[in-house]
Amino acid sequence: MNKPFYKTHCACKKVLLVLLLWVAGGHVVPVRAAEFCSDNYYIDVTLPNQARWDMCWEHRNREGIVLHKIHYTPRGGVRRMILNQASLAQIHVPYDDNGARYHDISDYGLGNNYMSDLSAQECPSGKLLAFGAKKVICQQVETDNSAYRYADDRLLGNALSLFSVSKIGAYNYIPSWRFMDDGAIEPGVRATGALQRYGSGNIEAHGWLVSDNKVGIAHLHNFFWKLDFDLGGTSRDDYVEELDFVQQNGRSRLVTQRFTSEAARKIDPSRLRRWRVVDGNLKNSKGLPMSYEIRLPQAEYQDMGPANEPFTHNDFYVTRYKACELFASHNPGGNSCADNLAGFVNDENLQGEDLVVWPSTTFYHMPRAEDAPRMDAHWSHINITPRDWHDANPLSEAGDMSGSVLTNSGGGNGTDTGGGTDTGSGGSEGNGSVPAIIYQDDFETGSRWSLNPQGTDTASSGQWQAGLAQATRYQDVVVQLGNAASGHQALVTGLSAGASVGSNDIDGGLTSMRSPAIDLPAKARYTLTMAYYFAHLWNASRLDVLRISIEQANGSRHVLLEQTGNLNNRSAQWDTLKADLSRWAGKRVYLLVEASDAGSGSIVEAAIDHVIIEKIASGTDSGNGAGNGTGTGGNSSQRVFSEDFEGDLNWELWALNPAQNDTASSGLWQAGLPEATAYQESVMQLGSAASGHRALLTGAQAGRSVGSADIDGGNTTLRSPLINLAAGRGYQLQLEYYFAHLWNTSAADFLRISVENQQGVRQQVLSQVGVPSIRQAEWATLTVDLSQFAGSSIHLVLEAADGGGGSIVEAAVDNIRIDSH
Amino acid sequence: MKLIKTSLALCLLVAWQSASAAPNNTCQGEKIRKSFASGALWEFCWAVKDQEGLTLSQVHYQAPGGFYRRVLGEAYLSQIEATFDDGAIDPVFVSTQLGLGGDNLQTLSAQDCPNGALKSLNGRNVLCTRTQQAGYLYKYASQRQTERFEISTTSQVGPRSYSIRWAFYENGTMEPAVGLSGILPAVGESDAQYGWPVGANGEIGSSFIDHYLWRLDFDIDASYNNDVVEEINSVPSADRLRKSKTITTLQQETARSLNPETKRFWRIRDGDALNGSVGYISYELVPAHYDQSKANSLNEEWLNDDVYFTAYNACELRAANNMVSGCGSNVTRFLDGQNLVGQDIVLWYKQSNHYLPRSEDSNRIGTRWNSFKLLPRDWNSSNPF
Repeated sequence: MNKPFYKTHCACKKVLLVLLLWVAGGHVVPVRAAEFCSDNYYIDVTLPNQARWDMCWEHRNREGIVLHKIHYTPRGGVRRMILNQASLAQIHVPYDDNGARYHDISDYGLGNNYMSDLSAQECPSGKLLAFGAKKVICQQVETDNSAYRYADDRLLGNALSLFSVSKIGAYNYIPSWRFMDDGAIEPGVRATGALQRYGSGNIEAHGWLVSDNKVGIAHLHNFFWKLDFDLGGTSRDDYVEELDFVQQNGRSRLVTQRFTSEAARKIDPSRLRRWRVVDGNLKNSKGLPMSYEIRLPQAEYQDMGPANEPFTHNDFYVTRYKACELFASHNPGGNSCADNLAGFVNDENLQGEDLVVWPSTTFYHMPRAEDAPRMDAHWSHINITPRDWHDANPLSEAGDMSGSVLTNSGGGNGTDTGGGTDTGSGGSEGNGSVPAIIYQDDFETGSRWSLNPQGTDTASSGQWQAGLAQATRYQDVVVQLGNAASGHQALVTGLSAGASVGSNDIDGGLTSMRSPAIDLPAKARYTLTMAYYFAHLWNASRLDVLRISIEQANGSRHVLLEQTGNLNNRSAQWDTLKADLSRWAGKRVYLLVEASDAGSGSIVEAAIDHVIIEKIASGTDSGNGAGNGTGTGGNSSQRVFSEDFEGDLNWELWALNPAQNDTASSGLWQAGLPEATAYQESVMQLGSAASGHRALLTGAQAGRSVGSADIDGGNTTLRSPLINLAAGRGYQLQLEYYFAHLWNTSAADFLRISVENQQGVRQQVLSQVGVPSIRQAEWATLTVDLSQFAGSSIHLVLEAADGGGGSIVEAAVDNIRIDSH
Repeated sequence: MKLIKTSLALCLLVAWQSASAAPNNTCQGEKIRKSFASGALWEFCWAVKDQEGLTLSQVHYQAPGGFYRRVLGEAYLSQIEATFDDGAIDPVFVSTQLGLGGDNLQTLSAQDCPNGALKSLNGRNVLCTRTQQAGYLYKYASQRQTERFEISTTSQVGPRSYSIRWAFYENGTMEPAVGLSGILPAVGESDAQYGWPVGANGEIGSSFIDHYLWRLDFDIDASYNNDVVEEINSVPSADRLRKSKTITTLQQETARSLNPETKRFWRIRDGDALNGSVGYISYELVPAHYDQSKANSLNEEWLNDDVYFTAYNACELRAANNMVSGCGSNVTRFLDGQNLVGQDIVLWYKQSNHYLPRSEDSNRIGTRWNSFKLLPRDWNSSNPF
């Protein structure tokens, strides 16, 4: 296969973006939210002051390290998502002599061969995170910053710091993220290395004379970030507001503007401008919408570039999420996406949409003599700080002073009122208003739940217990997780691993546990969110059950979730149950969890964690959020898996050549931008994807001739991540594909798509075989019912082969989606 | 509801005072010397004034294998001016009317200064000094980690807590900073448009602005009175594809402002000393917080520009509310046409910090820092590391 010298669109890796599914039409559906990636790509740090940040990371060829599902848990508070995705989206480096205008991320990339392997010396007191054999992230905890100080009441703060290093030309870029224990985020970039371009004395006007007849050429680094905020985990209820202060007659008056359509904005130092991203539903206990504020404190050298670089003409952009809007400039072209940020802003409506904000900042580098031969790091950053995300300062125990009478301003001693409301998780009663959080249990301090509340339990082992779980596995199947969905502890059926996998699982019948009484005040609406898993080995049956119900004081029950066993292995994996409890407003209810192993000693484990019942803000619809994928619109249809191949495939989840018996020497499966290939008049590979820009291809490049990058020498196999299909529902798989060949083809050439369960049982759902005539590439849709796999975990297996003597064969797949109904 | 801000305005801390003697070669206070393993060295004197709090004098830097040279003769935060967005009370000049020194200077304990060393003044520990890891110095074929040396004090002035911190990096960079914390100065006083609801019953926390007015007396190298100020502009071509640099020597005392259009910056260079190659040794100002830099609702003359350059005058102590008899009342009055070429230069730099309260501030304001950098430019002939 040919590799172009630069601007490669090569096989890429992508973390599976899990779709959030929502309560629809009163039905209860499981939502995946508690675990978004494998442990290798999961960062979960509790800072010394007990604030917690957890997130997934991904390595991409272009953007380098991309962070996903960034969750923040204030000390003693509720874990909530801040950002669905965050990364740098361009480093644009125009030189003052116009001798070069680099677009470093789109045209070179921070990942792949540009990504540096870090040494322990570069990461003092830190931890190195590996991508394959390469250590690509340094994770550190910074301590001893001032968190707050008021007279003698003072606290030092901490931050989780993550950075990677990418070498592009003479530069080392160091994208960095600091996550503070008060919820603030500081994205930044350092740059070090050596100056990329020098000239002789005659171009001194474009730079600085650093030594005799040697001019370091001045240049800009325009840094752009792409921040997909999904505050509270809901993608479509955020809005963005601009905050200005109009100065007049000795006053500065606050004026806010809410963006209803896409916007490109500049800082305005005479109006002290800043922005905030606000959740449309979440409110703190003071009734204020929860939000994050964005300030651009380093705008001294903001640059307005030439007319053909309109993305430099503003500092802050708000757009509607689009999968193909990847880079601030040199964005991969095509029909559905613009070339740069300025084009992304095309007046699309933002209301009820998934929003993306693109802040930028500029470093102007006028070289100094000190920049040669090596250049010390310079540093650029932006500020993202919580605004009303908390009820009060999350790190302080001090009472709320904002309603207090303050009489002593001297030394500040004794001004704590002490009688204020608690900070943190809420639950304190306001003045007649319903608190936002009605009930919460993370099982971190034992359990207030009662075991066997009705005296009906029959299980002889594996009873529900709150505590630290130990991982249990049987061969490759994890049946009990060693981690909690939140914090450290969970409610689990038999905490300890025991001597063998069968030691402390549920046996002999039913175990049940009931929550304390929960009073839901009248005239309000409520949601329940709960993490759970249910796992079993192949020897389970329909008699093995996890059931979660609402029980009323009179004993009546309503089942929210029921999962039953079958003859497949099902690994433990945290999922989220979300249910609307509004119908019980004004009533006293209990949550009841039941698990049983009614069969003959099969291996069954279950757990729940992170239970929250929240009041839904009045006047707003519940459950109107949708995943960040395509909204399917059907009122009970939910997407459980989708892959559009727009990003890099995550090779921790996807497997190329999983059985190690592939024989193809070229044209291996890869996600990429297709380049059209034709032989005479016959199209062998299409130049466009079925959806978006990229597709899964057998060799993305056209190569020098039509035969350059087609499949040769045998078969190539790609296996999808494990997809859990919950029991009791129907499933439909759809995807687009084509299979193309010339006349010199035989039956040894094929495209095959199969569904495989964890026991290796494979069922073919598509088989296309070559015949000795020309078949041109043309996208077709495959629709398959997967309902028979409900209650098991499956892989999709994609195989393409050129088994003959070097005939021309191309195949492609795009836009895979599995919906439940 | 009683306000903290009223108490702020009540007391006047300092009487008018007369000019002190020129400090040009004088170490004021106690000397601190910090040498790094690389051989890099910082040396300076620290003292505390009743009004401005922490002041530094005779700040010297020596790069590994380089010359021991003075950078600053004297440097401090000369004034904090505090205003409220609702304009209900007159601006308060925190430094001169209330003071960062004296009893307002807080006594520090070991827990305030982890892994550091405390220094005392009049029997109280008030200054924390510590050495912090600072990540990469550079990374190219090889990499090198670096450190910074920090000193800090804290003052409690009514509701507000101000920390003053100077960071001295191993490579010659300085970063002065002021950190704001404490409690909200006014709650339940303003209309909604001049603040943000922070109380349990929607009480408005008044939004406010601090102007931080720094005074930096550059005395580069041995002689303090042969320095030159240069303004560098990179002017875009009509098609905006190129920029052409101009270097202008500022001839006489002047007020100047940032200009993103031309990437404007300033450096103070020695009139004579070269770096062993082709450059005059100098330090440049690396500004920050441009996004809030035009906060001046009262149209006060000393807030109209970002930087001011004056020739040294012993009575010109503070950029606003100078409070010295026989001297200009603010920095714009110091501009009286004196020559700046080959003189003792004082750079006055203003930063503004607009604070819009949040629920998070209702019991304690999370510390917000405002800082800028002073960067060696051609101090060395090449990177000494």
